Amino acid sequence: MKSDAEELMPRLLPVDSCDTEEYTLTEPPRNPQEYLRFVQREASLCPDVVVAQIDPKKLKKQSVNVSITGCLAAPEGFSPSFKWQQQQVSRFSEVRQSVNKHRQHWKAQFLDDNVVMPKTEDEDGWKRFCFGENVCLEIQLKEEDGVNPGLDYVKTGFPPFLSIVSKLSQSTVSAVLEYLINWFEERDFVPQLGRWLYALLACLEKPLLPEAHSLIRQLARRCSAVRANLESKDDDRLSALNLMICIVARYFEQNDLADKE
Amino acid sequence: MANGAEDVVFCRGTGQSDDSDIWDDTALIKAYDKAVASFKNALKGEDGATPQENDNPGKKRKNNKKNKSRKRCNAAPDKEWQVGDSCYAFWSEDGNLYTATITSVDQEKGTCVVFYTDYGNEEEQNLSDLLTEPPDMDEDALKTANVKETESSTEESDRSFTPQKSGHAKHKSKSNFPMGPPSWFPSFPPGPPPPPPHFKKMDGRRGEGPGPSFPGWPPMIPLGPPMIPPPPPMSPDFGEDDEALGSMLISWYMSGYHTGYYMGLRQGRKEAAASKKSHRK
Repeated sequence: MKSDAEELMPRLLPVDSCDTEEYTLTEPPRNPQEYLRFVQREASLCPDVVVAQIDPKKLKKQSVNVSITGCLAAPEGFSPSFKWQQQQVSRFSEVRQSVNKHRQHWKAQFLDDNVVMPKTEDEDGWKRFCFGENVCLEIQLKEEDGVNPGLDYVKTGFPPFLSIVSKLSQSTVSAVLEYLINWFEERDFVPQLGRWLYALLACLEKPLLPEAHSLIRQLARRCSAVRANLESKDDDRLSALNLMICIVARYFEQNDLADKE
Repeated sequence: MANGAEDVVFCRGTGQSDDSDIWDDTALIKAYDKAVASFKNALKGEDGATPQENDNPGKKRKNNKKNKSRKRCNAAPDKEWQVGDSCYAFWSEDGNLYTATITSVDQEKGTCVVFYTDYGNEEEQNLSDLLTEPPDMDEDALKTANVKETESSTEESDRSFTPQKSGHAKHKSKSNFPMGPPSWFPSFPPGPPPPPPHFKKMDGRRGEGPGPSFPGWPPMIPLGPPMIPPPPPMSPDFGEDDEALGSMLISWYMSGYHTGYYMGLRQGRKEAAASKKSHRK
């Protein structure tokens, strides 16, 4: 660093470098040259970077400790190849174009009577709508499942149909995305979550708001953390997690979060 | 997707809207499932990479550049010239190209009389030698044209005059060859022939003219028809060059002289001032 700095900056006051250590530090300098050599020696002893050690006890106010880190490195064999990521980005782009193309058509479609979309502010309502009552309430009623063979979206959660997703405004998309990501922070990855996240990202319009950027980055970091804890490659969740990280990093230009082969 | 949409519209007419909605509503879900499944396929086999590599090499573009060279054709020599046409002709004396206008045409002989626009003299030329535009020819070709032009002009001079007049022409050409006899001959026939003694006097004046008054430019003849003499010969040009060099050298010398004179005056004044001061002290 010093050599670089010396080369870059012009020398305003040329002073010969002190090779010999004849001068003692205890005695005061007798002439200007000695003083300058003292200064040089002290400067060479200082480190380039100094980190202050803060004692938490002495802090008067309570401050929030935010430790923001990048995506955790994927275990060996878990990360997807670059070609696969490029394919997914191109297909995702095509899906987004198709959604935009047919948005007007699907907006005109009327929903069935059993489909009741919650309000934008209703976080619990949206969770129930997307994941179903079973996942939300963590109820495991195998007997009832056997009794009712037909599809009951109220309990299993509504899939992200185009007729439903097309009716969401950008603010609603952002809000629902936030609800799902907050839910994901505390719980495990479920298939319904993957489908809804994919659908919401497909509807999220560019350029993104700063809040949207923060949400998707949070999603990518959470996905990488979950992926790091997976036990084997054959886990069904690995593909979905890789897909989410790939879409956020490659398509939405968060390249610092991208997987490196 | 477009086909799917059309099918949906068609099915809707039949009243199967629920099924079609559900079928196409799941496009996003199917895309998601496809994406998730593709990762598993990528993990399983390495065979998938091979066809991609085959697809990678694209066709090389061939650059076929066609060089079309355009050949410029000179004016056709078979052009029919008419009286009053503008053209370019080589003067027989120096072989240079000058702008001219045709004053008379003789189709039988293939010759014509041209009036040089910039100089005012006339000359007989072959119709085939005239040019519509000044060509961009090499020096060798130009020299060749000059030689041909000289030969043709000599033949013309021999043919164009009667035996008596030709005799006079020969005599005059011998005495006044350096002055440009071909330019004088065409103008003689139209005017009436003067008496012998008067003619001799004119000849004498011509002999006297070039010497004392104008070394390189003979004077115009007041009695005869007006004519512009040929351009000056080489020796006066050389003299002029020497004069230019001499004047340049003289100006250099004079500037040095003036500088020295000024320096001398200045030094003299200084010495005078010094002597006065020393005298006072």
